[in-house]
Amino acid sequence: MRGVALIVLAWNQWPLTRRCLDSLLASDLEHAEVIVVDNGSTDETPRALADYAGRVRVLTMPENLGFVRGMNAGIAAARPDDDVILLNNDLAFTQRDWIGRLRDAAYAAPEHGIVGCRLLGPEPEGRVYHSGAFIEPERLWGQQTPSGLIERDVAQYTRLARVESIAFALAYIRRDCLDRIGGLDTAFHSYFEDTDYCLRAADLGIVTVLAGVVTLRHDQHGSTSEDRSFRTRLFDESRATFAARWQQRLAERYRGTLLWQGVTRADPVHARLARDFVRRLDARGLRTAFVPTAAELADPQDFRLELAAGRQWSGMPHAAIVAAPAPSFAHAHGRYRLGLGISEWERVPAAWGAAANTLDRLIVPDEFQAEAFRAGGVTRPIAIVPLGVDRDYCHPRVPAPRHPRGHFVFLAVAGQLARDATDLLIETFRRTFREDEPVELLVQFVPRDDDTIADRLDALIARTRGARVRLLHGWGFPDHQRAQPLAAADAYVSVRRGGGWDPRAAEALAIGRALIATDFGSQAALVRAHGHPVACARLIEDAEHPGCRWAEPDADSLAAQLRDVFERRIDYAAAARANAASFAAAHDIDTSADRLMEEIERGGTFKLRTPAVAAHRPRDIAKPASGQIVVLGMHRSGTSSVAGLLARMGAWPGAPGDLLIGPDNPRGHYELAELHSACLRRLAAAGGDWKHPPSSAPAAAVDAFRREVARVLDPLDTLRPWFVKEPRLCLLVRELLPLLTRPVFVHVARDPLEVAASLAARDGLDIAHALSLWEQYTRAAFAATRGWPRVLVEYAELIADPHGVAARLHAAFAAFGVEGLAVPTAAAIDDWIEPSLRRQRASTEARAVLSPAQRELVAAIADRSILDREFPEETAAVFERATAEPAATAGVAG
Amino acid sequence: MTETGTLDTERLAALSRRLGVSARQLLVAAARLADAGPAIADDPAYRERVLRDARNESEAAEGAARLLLTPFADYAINEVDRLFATIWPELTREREG
Repeated sequence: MRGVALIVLAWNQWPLTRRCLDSLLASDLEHAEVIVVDNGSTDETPRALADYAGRVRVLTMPENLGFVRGMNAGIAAARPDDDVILLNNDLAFTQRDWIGRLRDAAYAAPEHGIVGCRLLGPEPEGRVYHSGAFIEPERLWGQQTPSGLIERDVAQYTRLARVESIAFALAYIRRDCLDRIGGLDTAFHSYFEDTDYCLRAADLGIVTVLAGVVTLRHDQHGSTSEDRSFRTRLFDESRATFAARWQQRLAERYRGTLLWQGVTRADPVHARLARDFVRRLDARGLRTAFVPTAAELADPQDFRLELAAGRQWSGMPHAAIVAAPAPSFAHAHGRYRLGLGISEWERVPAAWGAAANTLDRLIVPDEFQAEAFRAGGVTRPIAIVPLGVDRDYCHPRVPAPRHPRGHFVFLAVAGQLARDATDLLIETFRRTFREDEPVELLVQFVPRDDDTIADRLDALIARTRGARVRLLHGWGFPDHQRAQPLAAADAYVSVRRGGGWDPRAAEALAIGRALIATDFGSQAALVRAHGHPVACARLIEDAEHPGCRWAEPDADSLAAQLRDVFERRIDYAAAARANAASFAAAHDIDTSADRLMEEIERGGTFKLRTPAVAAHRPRDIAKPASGQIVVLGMHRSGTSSVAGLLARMGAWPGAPGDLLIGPDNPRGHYELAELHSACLRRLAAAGGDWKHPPSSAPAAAVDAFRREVARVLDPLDTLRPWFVKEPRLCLLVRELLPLLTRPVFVHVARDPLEVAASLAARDGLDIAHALSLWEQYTRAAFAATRGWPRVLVEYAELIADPHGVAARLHAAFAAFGVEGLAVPTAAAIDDWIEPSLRRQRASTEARAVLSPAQRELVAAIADRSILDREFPEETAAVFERATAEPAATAGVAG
Repeated sequence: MTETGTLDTERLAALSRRLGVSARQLLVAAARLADAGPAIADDPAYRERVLRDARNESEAAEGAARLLLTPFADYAINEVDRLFATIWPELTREREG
């Protein structure tokens, strides 16, 4: 089967190369060939590599050709259909299944072509040096993480994510990507060749992704660390080459200048907005500049925000957003002026309303805020942009210490005493819990210049008795660690008088922690839906802002919620963890950024978006199909009939003794027994079966499945063209894509009501369940083969006109370049396809039981538009719906 | 500051009152004079200009100076591990044990 070539480039530094190879050879290397390119080493490398004979293939270069030519030599030496993985010799493979996970990412979508992973540096505590790269056009200073910082490893960026580029210290490149682009550009010696390659790929619609599920160790510049001046020269030369090719184009991607007027430090809420949005808006094509609205020592903790703070602009910016208290709105400086408004009160002061009325548009995070500004006299348009959480930093896997004696920990944050009601919380907490109860309250102070808060709270703690309260005063953390205090706690308490947006409330839910919050303001809807609301006793006046009212939390309600969350902690913790992923998906900061973009674009002051490049499809490469055919279709859809037709065309189904023959199809299924067994084991390993498809699978189950299937397919490969068929492959075929060389997929579709009736007769499935399965199998199969060579056969057409279908199938195979097939004789076709096979026929009335989505799928198959359709990555969601759909009855004619 | 290295706050306060500037403004002016070197700093016109600048410093400069003078701890960047090792020291002992 098709494999992957692991190309390790080595130039001296044998201890590093040895560590790399030893750890590499200890990882799972199925269908992988290790090629070491010795780039003219003059140390013990050539001699030492001889000890690895039989385990690695060594290519010896006469001299140091540099990274680009050395890697290109390795690519040229790889088997012609293999994918490749470019590897530096200063990597350590600390994750055994890393290849399998990179394969998953590479074939998760047809347009994926280049895959990287998280790379940690050498520090024992773990620091993330690489998690997807980008480059800005002004200084061409490539950044190796989205924030541009080397961050402590807090399990950030562990999802599959599209990125602008990756470092080619490790790069999985799919063969169809190589077929379109070729090797690395020899205009570069070392450095910038990776960004150049990814940008050239993007021009062809090929997407670069980060497989965050893989984390390896990388000693930066290990291969050239001995010669700093040499490295500097290489860097400067490559940078000049890159600048000549890309700098102007990168600059032209910007559609105009957005001025962000806000803060990076205090107050923390507006600083949060700057950190969350400046980098995202800049990445979305708005050249974003930043000016502070208050005197501050900037604390960006983000490369793009820092870059924005140093940017100049000529004339009036295309748009401005003021993310600061409303009085600053009047200073918005842009052709289209927006403000991000957050009020602590039910109605903002008239001066705030007047300032907001100088804007073109006011943005608020929720209906409470909209109403507060309307009540304060705002007449300008108000748009609601819900503010989500950063799922890369806030998720249940954030590492954090837990209380050493297992005490239940509440966390609260104090910034302003009156607004945050911290005194009320401490008094109520101590009244609620005795000293000897295993519970603790942590109060984290956000940096402010009011030291008296801590003194007052210390005094309060001194004069009350009860369970332990700790004030975390004088601590400041890097922004990327903000979720860790939440993760160290069991519940977050946002029992505030003020109604302003508290970003930690949603972050706590995304991490999987319980939320207790006042049923007032921006947190009200959130806590009602997902947490434990504390009643508002009454509205009171904010002493610092006469006439402005906020909530006085009800102390008894707070005490009851604290006690309840503590007493039922096991149940609530399980519920919070179970809810975390779906909550975070529904409250994603990137969705917020998209919405904010829409609002910014309303002004019409920016250049129009450049039309997107058509996405790459593997079927577009100029190479013929190799003769590997996979038949996909739901159970009882006629896949056996099509398989028999293929066999009669001359495609090899496998040795007769390896094929199953079942009682319901005595003439044979054309199913390989071992392939069938592998599918059964794969579904079972994920906790399901064909009637109950699992929504996800352990990585080990996927790897085992690939291993088993490869053993089945290997013997077939000497007898191309061949085909395999197994209905369960509809669900699993995506996992096999890395093993297949330019395959062709034959989709067999049958009327879902006929399928359901057949399943009801054979397996006793109720109609709703059977229809749901048909939908799942069909969606999963067409989603997995999107962009690949594929052909659709409708069962009804096959029965009605088997000769025509056989001819069209053969023509399709020929068009894809499959050689060695012939149209079967008429007698052979008539002998195989019997009209009596079509036992169940659906009545028109029966179609009423189909759901709208199922009817849409039927229509897309009928007009064949399904072959051009974009399938959202919703397979898992469809699986989850499987058993939840209400039962329905269907009238099916036998 | 005296020759023994101690800060004579009473003299600083008295001088600042006499010159009509705050103690911090006086220190800023003294720093500028020190940086300028004795040849320039001894020029009465220059000393007067430096003191005038100190009295009339802009709001932004005042704000920046205030930020610089806020307690260190407010802006110290720690790491979360250190916090929890401090409040829950058993964690550190467990790891070491």
